[in-house]
Parts: sequence; C-alpha cells; structure tokens
Amino acid sequence: MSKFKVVVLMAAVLAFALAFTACGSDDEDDVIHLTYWVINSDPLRLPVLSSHVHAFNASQDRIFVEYVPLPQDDALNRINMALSANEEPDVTDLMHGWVANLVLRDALLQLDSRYDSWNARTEMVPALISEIRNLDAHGGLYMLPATSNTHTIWVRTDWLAEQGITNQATWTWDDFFHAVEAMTDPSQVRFGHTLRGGPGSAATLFEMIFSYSGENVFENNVTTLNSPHNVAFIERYFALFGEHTPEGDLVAGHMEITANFTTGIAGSMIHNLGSYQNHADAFDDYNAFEAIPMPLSRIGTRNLSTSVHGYSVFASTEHPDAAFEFLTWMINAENNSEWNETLGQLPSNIRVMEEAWFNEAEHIATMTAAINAPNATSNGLPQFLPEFASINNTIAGPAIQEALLGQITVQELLDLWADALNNALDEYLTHVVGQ
Amino acid sequence: MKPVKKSRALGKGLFERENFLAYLFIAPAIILITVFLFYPVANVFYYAFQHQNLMRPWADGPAGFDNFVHIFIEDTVFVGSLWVSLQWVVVQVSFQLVFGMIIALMLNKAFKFRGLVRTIMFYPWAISGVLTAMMWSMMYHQHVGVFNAILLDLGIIQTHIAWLANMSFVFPSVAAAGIWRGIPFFAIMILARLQTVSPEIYEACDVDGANAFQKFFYITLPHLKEAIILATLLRTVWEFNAVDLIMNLTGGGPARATTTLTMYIVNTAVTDQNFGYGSALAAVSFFILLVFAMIYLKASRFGKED
Amino acid sequence: MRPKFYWPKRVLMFYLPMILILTFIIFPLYWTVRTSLMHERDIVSLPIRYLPIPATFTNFITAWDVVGFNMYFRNSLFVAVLSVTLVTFFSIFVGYSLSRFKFRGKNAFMFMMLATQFLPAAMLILPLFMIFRNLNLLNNHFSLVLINTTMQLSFNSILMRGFVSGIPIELEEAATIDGCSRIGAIFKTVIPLLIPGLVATAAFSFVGVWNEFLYAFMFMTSRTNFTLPIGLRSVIGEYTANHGILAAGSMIALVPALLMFVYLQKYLITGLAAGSVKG
Repeated sequence: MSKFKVVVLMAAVLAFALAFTACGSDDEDDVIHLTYWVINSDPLRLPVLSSHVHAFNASQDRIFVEYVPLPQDDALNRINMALSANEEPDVTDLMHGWVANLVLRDALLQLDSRYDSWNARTEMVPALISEIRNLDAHGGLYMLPATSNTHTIWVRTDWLAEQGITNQATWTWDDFFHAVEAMTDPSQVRFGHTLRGGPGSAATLFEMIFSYSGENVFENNVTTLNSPHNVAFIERYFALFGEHTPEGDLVAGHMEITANFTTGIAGSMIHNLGSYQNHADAFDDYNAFEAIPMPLSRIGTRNLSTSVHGYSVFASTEHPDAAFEFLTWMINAENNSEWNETLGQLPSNIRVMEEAWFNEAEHIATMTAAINAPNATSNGLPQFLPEFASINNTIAGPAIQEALLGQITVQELLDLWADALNNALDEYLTHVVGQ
Repeated sequence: MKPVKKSRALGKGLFERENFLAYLFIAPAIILITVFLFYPVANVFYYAFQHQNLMRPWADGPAGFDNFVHIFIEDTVFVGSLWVSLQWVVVQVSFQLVFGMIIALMLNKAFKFRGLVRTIMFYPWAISGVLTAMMWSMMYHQHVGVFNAILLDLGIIQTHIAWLANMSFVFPSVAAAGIWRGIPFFAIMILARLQTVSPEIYEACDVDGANAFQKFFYITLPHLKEAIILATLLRTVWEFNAVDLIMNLTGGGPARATTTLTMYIVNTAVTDQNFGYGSALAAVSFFILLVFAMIYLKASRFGKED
Repeated sequence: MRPKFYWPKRVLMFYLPMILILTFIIFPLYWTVRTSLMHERDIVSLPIRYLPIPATFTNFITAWDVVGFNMYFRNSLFVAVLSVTLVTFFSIFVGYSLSRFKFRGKNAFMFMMLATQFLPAAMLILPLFMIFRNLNLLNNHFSLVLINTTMQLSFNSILMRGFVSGIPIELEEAATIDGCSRIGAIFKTVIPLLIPGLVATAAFSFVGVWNEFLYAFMFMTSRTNFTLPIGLRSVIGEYTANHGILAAGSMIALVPALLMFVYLQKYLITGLAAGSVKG
C-alpha cells in the first residue's frame, strides 16, 4: 500500500469520526418540551414517577415532558456541571440538603408568584412549605414538596418483649441505652444496636444530639452542638460500640446496618421512614419490628427535624408556567398518594392523609402522632447552610471514626464540628443574609 | 538544531522520509490529544491558582500560591493520603505483576481447557466496577458476609472479623479486591508478549542443559523487559488514580486510613465543590506522577536495550 | 513407565497452583451468579445460602425491562465497537512509531501521552463538556467515541510499543530488500506477528470503553442515549440495595465482553512458543 493511500485512509477515518454532527432538530410545532431530571431512579421508584409523567403527557397536548433518570449518587454532580455549563434542564427532583446551595447561586426559579395564585396550594402541608422557605435567606419558595421524612429508630419489638420492655413509645434516651444493653446477647450473636459509622454517620449523629438536648441548633448565632451534656451523651452512645454494636459498624453505611437489622444481628438501628420497604420485605412477621420516634429529650420535649424532598424549576427555563403546571401535577393528591405509599414516607398533600394506606400504616401513624403531639418541637436543622452536608461528610465523618477508635475524644470531635458550623454560619450571615 | 539520527536498520537516504512517516503515524494521537485534552488539563492548572468554591462563591478569585501553601504547610490530610497512595500503588502493582506473570506462563503451556481458563482469567477485568465493589463489600460484611461464614465453618477463625473496619485488616482486604481485579491486565499482556519469544533460543538452552528457572531469568525475562516496564508504569499511574473500588468499599475510612490522594482530590473538587483547591491538589499529583515516570524510565534504562 | 514419575511434579507445580488461583478468581463470580438468581429478601439473610434456592429469573427480567437495558445495550455496543476499531487501528502506527523511529520530540510525545492518564477524569469533565457542546456533539455518541478513543489510544499505544519491540526488525529489512515499501513491510511482516498484541489491545480498550461511566453520564442528556454503566448505577440508591438486580444486570453487561474475548483469545497464542517453555 502506498504511503499516499495510507495518508488518505487515516485522514478519512479521522475526518469521518470528527465530522459527524448532531442531526436532531428541535420540534417547530407548538408543543412545549420540558426536560425533567429524576433523582429517584432505582427500579422501585422510577416506574412510579415515570407513570406519572406519562399520565401527564397523555392528559393534555400542550406540554410534553421528557424524563431523564440519573443515578442518585451522581445526580448532584451532574446538576452542578450542567449549571456551570448553562445546560441545565427545566425541572428536577431535589433532596433537602441540595436546595440551599442552588438558591445561593440563583439557579432555581422562585415560585412564590405562581404559588400564590395556585388554587390547590391549600392542600400543601404548611409545615413543609415553611421548611422550604427556611432554605432561602429571604424566605422565598424554591421547591414544591413531594414527601417528608424524619429520623426514626427501627427496633425489634419481639426482642424488647423478651426483656419485658414495652414502653418504647415514651422512651427517653436513657431508656434507649438501657434497652440496647438489655437486648445484647453474645451467646446468640445478638447486638442491641447497629450504628452508622460510615457514610451518612454525621447526619444521623446530628439528629440524635439535638433529639437528646432538646435545644435549637443555633442559639444567638452560636451552635449548641458541643455543650457538655451533648458530649456526655455521645460518649454514652459511643461506649456501646464494639460491645453492644458490631465492630464492623465503624464503616457501616445504610446497606450494612439494614443488613444487620433485617438478619437479626442487631435489635435496633437509627434511620428514617424511607427504609420501611426493606424491613417489610425481610421480615415475615410485621409485628416483629416497628418504627418509634426519636426518644424524649432531656427537657421532656420531642425535638424533631423534618427533611423535605420535592421538585424545583431551574431559573433558566424558557417555560416557567408550563414547568410549574407540571410540578403541580406531580404533587396532586392522587400522584402524591401513590408516591408516598411507595416510599413509605409522609405525604406533602393533606388530602392523602385520608387515604386508607396512610391510616393503616403503623409506622406512619406513630410518626404523625409524635409530630402532632403537644411536646413536639423543631430543632431548626441548618439545611439553609450550603456547606452543611459538606461539613458533615468531610469534616465530621472521619472525625467520628477517629472518636469511635479512641484516637480523639468526643469533646474534640464536637468542638471540631461546632467550629466548622459556627464559621459556616458566620459566613452565611455576612455574605448571604447581609446582601 | 539537534541532528536527527538515522535509523540504523534501514540505511541512509531514508531519514527524511522516515521523519515524515514517524510524524504521520503519530498524527492521530497528537490531534486527538491536542483537540480534546489540552484545554481541560490547562484548565486544571489555571484553577490551581484560583479560589473557586461553589459552596462559598464570595471567596472566589485569584489565589496566587495560597492553595499550594496550604497543601504543603497546613494540610495534614494531604500527607496522609499521599502515603496511602504510595502503599496502595506498590502493593497493587507488585502483586498484580507477580500473579499475572505466573498465570501468563501457565497459560502459555498447552493443557486441556486452556481456552476456557483463559476466558475465566479475563472476567475480573471485564465485569462492571459497580458490581465488583458491591460484591466484595457484601462478601466482607462482618456478620452477613460469606467470607466469615466459610472461615468460621472451616475453623480458621473463631470470631466474626470486621474486614473493612478493623484497622489491621482493612488495607489488605481492599487490596485483595483490587489485586483480584487487576491481575488479568498483566496476565493477558504478558501472555501476548510471550508469543514473540522465539522457541529456537529455548531449544538452544535445552541443549546446553539449562533448567526452567535459568531459562526464565536469562531469556524470558529480558525479552519481556520493555513490555513489563511500560505495563508497570501505566498500571502504576492507573492505580494511583483509581478511586471507585476503595470509595465503595470503605468510603476512604476508617478515619481516612484508605483515602488515597486521588480520592482526596475528587472529594475536594467534586463532592465539596472546592474546585480551586482540588485543582491545586491535582496539579501536585500530576507532577508527582510526571517525576515518577521520568525517574522510572531513566532508572530502568529504557530504550537503551541491546 | 517414565510419565508416572513426572506426574506428581506436574500436579504440584502446575495444576495445584492453577486451581488455587482459579478458585480465587472464580469465587466472586459464583457469588455474583448466586445473587442474581435469588429474590432480594433471600440474598442478605442468615444463615447464608450458598446455593440460589429458591431461584428466580425476575432480576434478569427487571434489569432488562425496567432498567432499560435493551436500549442501553445498543448504545454501549455502538460506542465500544467504534472506539475499539479506531484505537486498535491507530495504536499500531503510534506504537510502531514509538518503537522503531527516532524522531525529534519522541520522548516529549511519549510523556504527553502518559500525561493524559495523570489526572482523574472528574477534573476534566467541565471543559470537555464545553468542547463537545461547541462541536455540537452533546447527547451524541460520537463525543463518547472521540474522548474514549483519545484516552484509550494514549494508553494502548504505549503498550503497543512494547509489543512491536518484540518483533525482530530483520523481518522488515528483509521485506524492504525484497522490494516492499516501508508501510508494505509493516503490513506484511509486523502486523501478523502483532496479532496477540492487537488482541490484548482490543480486549483492554473494549472493556475500558464498555465500563466507562463518567463521560457517558455527563455528556448524554436523554435517557435513550444512556449506556449500560449508567443503567447499572441507577440500581443503587440511598434506600435500596437491589443486590439481585445489580448482579443480574452486570452479568447481562458482561456478555459482550466475554463473547468477544472467547472469540479472540485463541489468537493470543500464536503457537510459536506454545509448549516449549518448561515450567
């Protein structure tokens, strides 16, 4: 083969590869095309959401929604990259902890004007709407809620009964510790508790601390996280590690502690309502386990926090009205009911609370009762701080493991964590609120 | 202008044409790398000198050498992660090389089911990384994992070992998963390379009465030298930058005991959205690898064989 | 009578280590297969079930239908086949160049290719995204072909250098003396002997592209263009483990890579040195 032919061949191959351009063209007809990024894209949740999308498309012909399922662990990275490149979609699912940072960057559309003129807005649970407004320094509404969740303790009712314990609905944290110690039985390879020492450890611990102290996260712009009573509380909790919890918990994430709980290794775990389906699938006897709210605080209140997840519109969308209309569809009573029944979580639409499944689900009834009880307070989880998640994962997470291993003291852990939170709040007040 | 050396093999008068041919041959690589990678790499170096943090946009702006000062003077995580990276790379590459070599030598001999065994050897490399991490994580689980179940049944251990939590076991456990995955690379590469070793040389040695080890060390190994050097270099760089397996097995824990430098970079730049500091770390990592590559190639007296 | 004395030595020094290594390699595969054939609730249970009883195929069906595998499969196949073709073809020439030629900038060029591997892909994503957007190649599989080819070519050319070095240059000299052009000599003498190296290159680059997640995830904007790794990662979420579906899906994803290798692996051995190395 001559040299010339080789040159031509190689050039042709390269040119062919480089010269191809996208040939998809936009529809020129009047249908509004929306792109919706789905974060809840696993085989259980995606079919429900996609059926809602299909139903929306079928119910009218002005708007067509295309959904794009993103793996949950990578979805935020994708969103961030899209924003940096100005290629974001119209609508997306969002998790509670992601919103504040996006609001800060003016990435989301403020929904107030459309919300205020939306007839069905009275169906929204007011507490959730105000939670979402807390995420913006100026109280704007940047997300419509779809579901809410709260931390619970999943516990083996049968193991407790064996120890003669039946008062778990009115436990204090002290009662909890005693129950854990009672349930531990090395001869049967039983541990009273399985704790989350790996990914997500900080978020759980954070909830526990304020559930115990009954205080707000910030008082006078300083965090109460590292108060002496909290230090003592965590020391008590960490003392369970290794003896009343498996050693492997040091790096345990959600999957590992659930495995411990559902296989009868551990008698309790702290997670949230969302893992209900895992437990229901694993246990033959539904009476063997239950969800109980976080125990009473040291001052007799039940200090809870609420996570809200929902839908948002990106500020750059060309069809804000259509996008908002789509959001209202996704959280209408019928869809919200199916969605929350799948999740096993608390709905955002008040009308769903009349549904049979809602009233028959024991774990939901327990939580709702706890939330509505007179001694319930809200701790003000600082999801409005853009760095909150990052502080928990990057600073607190490794430090928690060091404390469990005894490499640092609990006081050092909480001080480190508190410093980070105080700095973050300072910057937030200076740069964000102060604007 | 340095004089261009003529190829000794193909005679004089050809070197001009040969230069043209050489550049023509490497043109596709140069074009692709220049078009697609030059700007992204330069971008990283640019941001290494900036404060760029999506979580704290008010602090964005030129940083001068601030990031680098922080890395070398104040950042304790950096030093620790560098050490973990070093251990990781040394363990991974050396074990993968040794096992890969053994397997390649074995597969070079004729035996029944050789084709089947070759195919089986390939699959740890071929299977999805997401699954690999999840499988090994499941198998290592302290109470529900199959490793402990088998070891307990066989009486080799007495208690359930927390393979991924116990500081004594976590690194070897994660390393085993990584080695399992990387062996096929060396096995296939060395096997392919063994095919060009001419059998006459071995036969000549047989006549001289050489035994197997002598044949291996004096004939096989030198022939493989260049390929092994290159493969080891590439694999070292690769393992240095490998994040997924460790991340999914331990999340970098416990207490950062398995956090490599690259994991630290990705956590900082992507998860924490601190692209400025992350880029500075990446630039440092880049230079570490570059210096290593230069020293490695020089020390192995590469390109000066025969 | 003689073979009987060799027999135990052969077992000890060859078959025994082989079986040990094979066990190490195969065990996770067996566990994956077991997991893929079980109901989710049985997968993580005590006591541990070593055999998939009761067995079910629902994981495979769910993976194929719900997770969208049928669609993702085609996309992955397109990107991988095209990329591997380009990489294998071009790496011959680049590798040959590195091995045989001496030219100005040769070392710099080699380090340039090495340097493409020095930074983690996550750091390069945003600028790459912009480049492909400017080329109008977003949501287009050619963007994946191009970036994968770039990365794989850099990697495999360096490997190919090692393979080319093993081929005696005398063969080309003989061919040119016989009247072939330089390139003709390459095609006649080098490439046939390079086949094991080409097989290795094809295998590595195929697997690399086939399992590549990040670029595919960031550059494809509609789900009809997603590739298999994206589908596999979607199976995991904060609240769901889905071991069974992930295992089943991964096995489906493994099939093309294995099929390709089953076909190619016999070319890894040219028979030149087969059986002549005593161990």
